[in-house]
Amino acid sequence: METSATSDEAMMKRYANGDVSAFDKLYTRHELPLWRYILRLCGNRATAEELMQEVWFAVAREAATFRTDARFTSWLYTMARNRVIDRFRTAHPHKSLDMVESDSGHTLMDTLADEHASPLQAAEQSEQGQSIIVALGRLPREQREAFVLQVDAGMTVEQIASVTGTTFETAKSRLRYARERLKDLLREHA
Amino acid sequence: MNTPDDESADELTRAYRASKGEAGGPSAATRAAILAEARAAARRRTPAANDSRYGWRAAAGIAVLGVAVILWRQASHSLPELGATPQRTAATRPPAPAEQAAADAAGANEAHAGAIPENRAAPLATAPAPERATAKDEKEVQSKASPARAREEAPQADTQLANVQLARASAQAAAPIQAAAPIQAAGAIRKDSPDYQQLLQSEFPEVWNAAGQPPNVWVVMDARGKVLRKGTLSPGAGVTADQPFESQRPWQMVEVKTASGSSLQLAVMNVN
Repeated sequence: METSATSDEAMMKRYANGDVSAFDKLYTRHELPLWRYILRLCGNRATAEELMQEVWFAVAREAATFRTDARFTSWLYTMARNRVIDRFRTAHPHKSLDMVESDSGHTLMDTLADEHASPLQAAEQSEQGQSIIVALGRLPREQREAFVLQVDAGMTVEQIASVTGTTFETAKSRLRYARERLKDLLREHA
Repeated sequence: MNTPDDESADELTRAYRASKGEAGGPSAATRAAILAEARAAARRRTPAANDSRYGWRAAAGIAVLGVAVILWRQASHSLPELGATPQRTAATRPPAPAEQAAADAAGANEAHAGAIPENRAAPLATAPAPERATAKDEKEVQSKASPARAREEAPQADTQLANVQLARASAQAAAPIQAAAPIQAAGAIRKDSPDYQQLLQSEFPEVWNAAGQPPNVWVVMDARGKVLRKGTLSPGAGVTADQPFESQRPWQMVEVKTASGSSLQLAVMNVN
């Protein structure tokens, strides 16, 4: 169980004070959940590698300004989300930002993913199927994001709302719709 | 109790977690770059923090600073206060004789000069200071305050001492003289003190027998009451009780009467 001495916030404080081993532990703790979050959002491994690097570089550089009364997980995933959105804006400067917030089935992340041979599509064609991953890739971006934040990052609905900049009710609805849609897709696949 | 939806949701979560391996993780190069940047950023923030010698350097610096402070304090305490005394304030001056005597009589040695009622305070006359009277003079006189040397060099020392005390009295002339509270009657003299009237008679016979207004006089005595040095002041001249002569040792002002009943001020200093 995580104690106050080994909490993310305490580790960040230790790292800000020069303890590099604290950063190593923090990175090990959050590496895979954050990686999956970025990858599920952008749908491209190469882009995810770049974004992963950007996010952790920012963590290292801004450690001194991190407020220990803030929740590290929320801070980390908010940075990651903002960088994913910035990346899309850079790649598609002429597309409306409304698309970023669209609840339609063709969100900017889906568009971005469709332009590359994403692992989700590859998985769909693989022998194992990886049906749930394929189904997840078909969810609207907001629902997919909420689901990944809950299952991968272990966030509460309140934290998901904080990271995604929505209300508690909106985050809760997105989670509910995500689960219902996933079940439907899995049934169809079966 | 779980609903079918909850069970389905849990199943969904389990299925997703079982397939998470598909995502793998970032490449080793990405991981290495991130950790390298973390180290570089830490070094940039605290350049010396990762240096193993930093702690020793910091400790040595603190130790040197501590020693310097101790030396400075010792040096400042050992310095004589001669140069800093001419404008001594009422807050630091010693008890006035009248108060001292009254306090001693009551067994209260902690009495302070500032508590003297105004109607008991009587200013002492002051005289112009000799121009060459300096702290150096005072120090020289002090250094000769041992009984043996004092007897040998009494005539010269008397003159120097009188100069210094007069200079000090002059320096105080501009400020209200509150500390000079002379004892109003010989009866106020401490019982364990020498008989100052007898002292006046034996040490200053010309003053004791003087007709008219006698001059004020001063004596330096050792702990046994032996007079080491003595002298007279010009008519109207006096010293104030808040004029320490040697370190923090003040003059004690005593009012005594001559044979003819005239009052005069006797300034007494006790030295070890």
